[in-house]
Parts: sequence; C-alpha cells; structure tokens
Amino acid sequence: MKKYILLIIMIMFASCKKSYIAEIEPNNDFSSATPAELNREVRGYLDSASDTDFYQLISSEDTLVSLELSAVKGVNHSVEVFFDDGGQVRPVKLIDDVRKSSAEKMPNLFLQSGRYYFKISYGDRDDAEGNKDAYYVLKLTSGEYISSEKEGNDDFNSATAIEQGETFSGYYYPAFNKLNRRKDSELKEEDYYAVQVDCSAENPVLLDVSVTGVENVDSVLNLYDPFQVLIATANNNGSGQGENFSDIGLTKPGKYYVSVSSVNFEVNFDVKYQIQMMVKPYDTSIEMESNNDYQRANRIIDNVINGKIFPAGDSDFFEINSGGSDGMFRIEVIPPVGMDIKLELLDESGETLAEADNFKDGEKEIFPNFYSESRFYLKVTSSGSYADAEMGYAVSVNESKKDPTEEIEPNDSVSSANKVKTRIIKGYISSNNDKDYFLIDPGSRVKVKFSVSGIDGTEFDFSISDSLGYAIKTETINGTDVKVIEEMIDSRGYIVIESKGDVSNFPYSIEIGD
Amino acid sequence: MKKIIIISVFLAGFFSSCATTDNGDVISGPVYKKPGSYNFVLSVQDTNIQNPSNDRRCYYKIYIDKIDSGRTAIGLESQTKTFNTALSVNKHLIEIEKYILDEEQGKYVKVNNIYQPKPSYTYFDVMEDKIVKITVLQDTAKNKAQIIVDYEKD
Repeated sequence: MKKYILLIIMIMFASCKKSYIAEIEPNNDFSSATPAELNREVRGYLDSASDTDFYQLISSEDTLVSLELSAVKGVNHSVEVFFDDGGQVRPVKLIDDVRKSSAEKMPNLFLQSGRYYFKISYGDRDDAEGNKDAYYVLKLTSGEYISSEKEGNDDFNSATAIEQGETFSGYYYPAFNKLNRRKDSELKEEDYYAVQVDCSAENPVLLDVSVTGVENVDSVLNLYDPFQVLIATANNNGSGQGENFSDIGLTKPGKYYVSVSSVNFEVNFDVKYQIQMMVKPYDTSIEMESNNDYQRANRIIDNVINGKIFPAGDSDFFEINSGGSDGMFRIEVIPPVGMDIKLELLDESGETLAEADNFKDGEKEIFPNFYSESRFYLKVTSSGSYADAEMGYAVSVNESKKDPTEEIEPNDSVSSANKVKTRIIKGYISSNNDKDYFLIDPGSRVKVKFSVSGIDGTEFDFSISDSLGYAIKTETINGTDVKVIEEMIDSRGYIVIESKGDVSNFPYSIEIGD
Repeated sequence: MKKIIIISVFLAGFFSSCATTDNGDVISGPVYKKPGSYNFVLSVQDTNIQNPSNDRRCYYKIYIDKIDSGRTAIGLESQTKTFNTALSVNKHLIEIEKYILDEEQGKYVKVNNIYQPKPSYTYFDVMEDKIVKITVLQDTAKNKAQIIVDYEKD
C-alpha cells in the first residue's frame, strides 16, 4: 500500500510543471538562450542596465504567431526576432514602439519550421535602468494561418506571396521597423506582398490592387515590377481611407510586388487592412496604365478607347496612326460628369501641335479636322484635382480622306497658312482662340471678291491681310450671316479667320471669285 | 535785197521746224500713251522723311466719285505707291485717305485727320485717247500735299 501511495505522489510531482517558463540566467547570447514554447508564457527580468535575455524556440511547422511582451513600469524594452538559417542567424524583426512602460506586440509573426531566437533588451529611448522587481511576460500564441501577411514581410525577399483574386489581411503595426535602413523608406514599417503574373509584351494584362482603409492610418501603396523597379504609387486618399491602383498594364512576366505602409508611422493594432490583387485580361478598348508619357502611349485600335483620370494629376497618352493616304482625323473625347477635360495633340518628338480646352465640366472636346500623315499622340488630362477610379472618359478617332476644300490644322500663323487652291474653302472654329490662315497667291495685283458664310451660334472676324499677315480689312461674321467683301491682293496676301465666339462642330465657308 | 535775205532765212527756219513724215503729217510736242486696260493712274509718295523710323508701311484708300474704288499698293511712305483703273470719259472727283501699319495692333489704321494729305482731293477730266496720271506728293514736314494732274507719256 505504501508503495502505491509513493508511486502516486511521484507521478503527481512529475506531471505538476509550472504554467510559465522562467528565464534561466545567464541567457545573454544565442548559445545560452532559454528554451521557450508556443502558447506558454515566459517570464524574465531586465534586472540591470546591461541585461539582455535570449530565448529560443523550435518551430516544427509553418505557424502564424501573435507575439506579446508585457509592459514593465519605467522600462522601454524591445523584442528582436532571429532565425537560424542553416547556421547563419539572421534578424527577422525588431519590435520597439519607443515608449516606456508600454507593451510590445507583433500580431502576424510568421514562423517557418526551424529555430528562432527572441532577444529581449532595452529600447533606444531613455537610459536603460534595471528593474529587479517587475518581470516581463513574453507570450508566443500560435494561430491558424489563413490569408494573412507573414511578418516580417519587410522587403522583396520576404514578401508574402498571394494568389491573384484572394483577399489577404495585415496590420499597420508596429510603427517603426528599425531594421529598415533603405534610403527612401528608412525606419518605415512596410508590408510586402508578391503576386506571380504571366504576361508578355504581345499579351499584356491589367492589374488592380486595392487596400481597405483603417482608422487613424493614412496609407500608401507602391507597386514594383519583377526587377523591383517602382512603377506606380497610390497615395490619393486621407486617413482612414483605402488606396488602389487601377488598370496598371503589365508586360513583363514574373513576380510583382506591392508594399503597404502608413504615411507618417501611424499604427492600428486592432483593425486589419484587407489587400487584394486582381489580374485582368487586357482589353484594347481600355487604357493600360502606366501611359503617362508619349513613349508609353497606348495604341488606339478600332477607333475607340476608354480611360480614367486617376489619381489626381493623371495624364493619359494615346498613339494614333494614319491608316494610309487618308490622314484627316476627327477626334472626340467625352468626359464623365464633373470632369473638365483637356486635350493636346503631340508630334513624334513630343512637341505640342494643337490643344483643345474650350468647354466646361462634363462637355466633350473635339479636334474636328486634324491632318497628319504620320504617327501622333493624344494627351488627355483634367483641370484641377479631379480624379475618379470608377467613371471614365471615352475617346473616338475617325479618319477620313482629306477634303481639298477643308482647312488643315494647325494653320494658326502666317508660316503654317494653308495655300488656297480651290474656289471654296472651309474651316472650323475649333478652339476659343482659334485663328486660321489661308494664303492667296494670285501672282499679280488683283481685286478679289470673297463671299463669307458664317456659322449658327457663333461669330468670327474675317480679315484680308497684306503679304506679311497684317490686316487691311476686317469684317465680323455673326451667326449665319453671308457677307461679300472685295479687296485688292498685292500679288500675295492672307485670309485670316479669328474666333470671337463659341467653338462649333460646323464649318464656315468662303467662296473666292474675281 | 537784205530784206529778201532776212525774210528767206526766217521762212527757212520756220519751215525746218515743221518736220514732216513720209505721209506728210506734222508731229509736234510730246507723245501721250494711249489707254489700254486702264486710263487712269494715281501715284502717291510721301516726301521729306528725315528718319527711317518715320518711314512706315502704308497705303492710300481711293474714292472716285465718292465710291470706294480700292487702294494703292502697300509700300513705305517714301516709296511711290500706285493705283490704276479704267474710268468713263468724263469729269471725275478723286479723294484719298492714308492708312499706316500699326504693328502693335497688327493691322492698318487710318491716319489721324491732322496728318491726312491736304488737299486730299482733286477734280480731273478723262479723255478718250489719253491716260490721266495724278501724282500726289505729300510733304510730311510741312504736312502739305502737291497734286499734279498730267497725262502718261509714251
């Protein structure tokens, strides 16, 4: 009987272990690290100004861990996490909120299988003072890994891989990443995500990335290509609001990276952000960002393309090619409500050939008769701070044969004047400051009669000028007026049409007789 | 005898000044150009311009019988600027107005009345077989015009 009682007592002692793990000093380096376990508290003391405590954890499988180091009154401490990578111990994360008497937390720490070290030491703030009376508690609580960031996903190499279309979550926490010494983002806590994209120059795809808003955090997204080159930044909305990229064109296959961070080191430990990346097939009727300069212009195929001005200040460039011997283009752009659209046409070297900004918000802009035998570019922008990720504008381009009686823009100066070759000439008031020059070159001094027909709803000045372009006679043509004007032409002179009213889609005409 | 010689010399001189053609017609004085597509020519020039900066591009607008009939060619004030047309055989009135180039405005503007030619008009007769030539010389220093009516010579 006594034997049995003794056996029971021994068994009880064997199974009665503490609920926490106590540090075993000295544990001041990797080799003397106190063993720790998941889901068991570790208690220790920073009992002198120079004390550092190391703990080691063997992770048997990939695990998501929530790390918490309790506050110690009067102490600013920090936790640094290391991974033993085949004998090479490398830092994974340094958690320090730079506050005294404050806990340190890391909600989404990812542990792959292997050996980890946790170093508890003093933070940078204030002088270190030991505290022999109050212990800290280090807790490593395992959780199920479901579509979450894997801290420390602090650079390209450690980016959390996500599948396109999946929604992942993360935290804007901690405030600082003291291991981040990159010049452009020093000390910033950034979360990196990577998505594999299959595409090519012949078969591009479009990428949408969105991040939800988190209270008290003003977020910023950066997008990098497979060569880790920054290709887009989204920082258009304020605190508490999400950010996104829309219709980013991708032509290089490989891993694309997105970094998520807060603008001013804001944090929110309680609320997660959600991130999603969507890859869409490229539709030639939709612009492909980034097309922010003429070298990256989208080709307009099938005469129509749609685009968006997003973010504010966005410029969209489109390439237009003459189909052959036609070369006369009518270009219309219809904006959404609220957008005051501005257009520019540029030549192959990026020089501006013509501009259109004649109408108000929500009203279309037009180039009614632009002539070109070679490639040129259309630039679309908006005035002010307009931006809309949802509603876009529509571009239509129609090419037709050159009408010999029609003006060819640009002809807004003596040097670019259209030479008159027909008895009838037609032109358009295509901008608020439009000026059209036509050269008359009879070769001798003759009197010429001009019969000028106006345009309903607008007015313009009709002038005859000398050979240098100085007006000799001017008549105002109002609405559908038809006026007959006679004037001497001294071997060479110009007809000058100058807009005085609204732009019109309809032409004026001038019949020239002796 | 002396009287006879004197009279003979006088008569010889008289008859020798009256040349004859093979046809026997008498030619005397200048020969006038016959009208073709025009029988009227106006020529205007500003004189006494001391400084090239005062020599501006200009033209003169022409009213014949109070009707806008056109203008001279454009040239510097110091240059001769002409105009020609065909008019009916009759008495006519011509008036001229000076326009100068205002480069700032980019157009020709009528000169202030103070600086318009004075006189700025004349009456003249158009004949059937001659070309009327009116020359206007506007002295810019004196602000005074001299109008000469003549016929174009061959």
